[in-house]
Amino acid sequence: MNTPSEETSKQAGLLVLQGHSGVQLQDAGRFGAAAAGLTQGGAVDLTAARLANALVGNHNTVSGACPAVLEITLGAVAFRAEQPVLLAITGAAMPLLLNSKPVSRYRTLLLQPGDLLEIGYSRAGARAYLAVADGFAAPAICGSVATVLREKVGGPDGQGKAVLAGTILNCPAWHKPDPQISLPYHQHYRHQSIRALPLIAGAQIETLDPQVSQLLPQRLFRITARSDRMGMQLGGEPLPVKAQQLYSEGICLGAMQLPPNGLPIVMLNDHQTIGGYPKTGALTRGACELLGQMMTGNFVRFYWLDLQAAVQQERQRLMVLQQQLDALVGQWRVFLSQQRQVKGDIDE
Amino acid sequence: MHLQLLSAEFPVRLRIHSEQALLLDLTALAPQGPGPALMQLMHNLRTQLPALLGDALLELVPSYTSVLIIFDLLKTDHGEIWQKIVSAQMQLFRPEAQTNANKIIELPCYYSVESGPDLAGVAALHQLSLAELVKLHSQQSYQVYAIGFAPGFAYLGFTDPRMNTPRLANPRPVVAAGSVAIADRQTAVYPAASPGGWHLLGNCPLPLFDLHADPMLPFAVGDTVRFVPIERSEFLRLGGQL
Repeated sequence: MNTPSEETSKQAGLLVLQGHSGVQLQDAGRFGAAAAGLTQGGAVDLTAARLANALVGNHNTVSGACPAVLEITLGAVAFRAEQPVLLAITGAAMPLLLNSKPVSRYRTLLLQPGDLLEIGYSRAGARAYLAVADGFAAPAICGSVATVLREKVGGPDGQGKAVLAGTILNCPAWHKPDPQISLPYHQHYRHQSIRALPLIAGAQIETLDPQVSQLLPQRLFRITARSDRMGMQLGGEPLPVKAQQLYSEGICLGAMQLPPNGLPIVMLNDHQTIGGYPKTGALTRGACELLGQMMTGNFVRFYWLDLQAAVQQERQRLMVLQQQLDALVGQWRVFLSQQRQVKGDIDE
Repeated sequence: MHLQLLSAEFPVRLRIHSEQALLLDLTALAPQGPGPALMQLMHNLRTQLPALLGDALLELVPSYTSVLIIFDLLKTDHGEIWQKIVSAQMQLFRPEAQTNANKIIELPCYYSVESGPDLAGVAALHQLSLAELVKLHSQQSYQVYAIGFAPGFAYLGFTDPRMNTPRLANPRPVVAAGSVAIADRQTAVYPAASPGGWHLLGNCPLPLFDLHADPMLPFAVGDTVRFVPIERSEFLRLGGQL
């Protein structure tokens, strides 16, 4: 008989009963390795990932590391707790059932061994984030556990695997009560099936057909089913393109490429590191997070935003997020001091 | 602010790529296209920019005629980075300031029909003997122009025009790791088994890419690479697989 050692059983946090290629361990991403051809990866909606971590008491700031979370694309996942686990789910509106009873997102949930957590199909939004207290344990590759399927890098065993049925996700056990920490979900994200997103002019706009900068903000684009973590492929009326040969150059998150078919592709976290298609400009990180939450068939249009305004908008967004993270740290301080109080009373 | 020019002496342009990324465009420094001189400069930039920009720098991606700089927008901004580059332009761009000669990396290659399934076809296309094709490919050195497509995949250029071969019309679903390949006027080694549309001339038995090593690759953009023909027995001795 194979009896797991006490050490192993302590670490086996969640057994995945149902998973798929869209369920992946992610963090803030992998930096410093793009010159060797590795993409940045990381949570598409990093804001949601950070809030999920802060809800379960994992320290993280807007610009620092982000403990590993599960990115769940579109839903359809089920877990069984193998030990007491404190978790929280943020992001897309996916129905949650804990032992067949509906429970809420954006709050802590304490699972006891044997408890069944089922996540249904998303009603609104593409990606949800599940964080556990003290984080999932996984080997860091170049400083990150971010899963990149095509690079075979990151994830639970470091080999770039998605989280499928049978995967055991390791995390420390939770031996305190549920602190019942929560955050009004609307403080973070409300799904919209049509959005206007800012686009920073730049890159090779001057090499494009001169009509592009005028036409682009007038067009409504559809999110197509070909979108994935590499990029959001947009559908609609094609923009005019000029045949041109460009030397491949580095690509950043949010870059909007205009390939020969005239339909823009916005680079998301698993984008290729270099590319030779002309670019109209780029979406800010914040706009990428919103775009990455859009579902097939949703619509998006773009408006030009100058660089200074874009930088200011991003800094403002990060400041608001930092305040939300700090507020959750405050809730945790109260809980932990109450715990010490209770423990102190018993000791006396 | 975008499309600023560094100076008349160093016609380098800054291009805005996002709220946290800018690109140094060196195209005007190499009107004939990228070559050894530009790659020497790339080596300079790759090694000096990290110290110049400090911990605000998140990522540097050199490629052909440009360097993409990604930074933490809570620590710096485009203007400050540009100012630092303007101040350091003499060290960064002056050819005589290049202190470290870039590395020359020799890669063993077993050129054969059994390790390079397109060797005979490419030779026939250009009316060369196998030996002539091998000589054309191995007698010159190449610059590393870019790394991308897949982790550790380096674009090396430029091959002799007599062996200029367009990509395969139908890419192979699987190309063996170590395959030495050509396409248009570039050559490369496939660091891992992957799909691929380049023509395969031989195989390099050395593992080139290791995620857990530092550095992960024996070469970087700006370095020089040369292929050294080896015999079958040497290929096998070095761990090559057929």
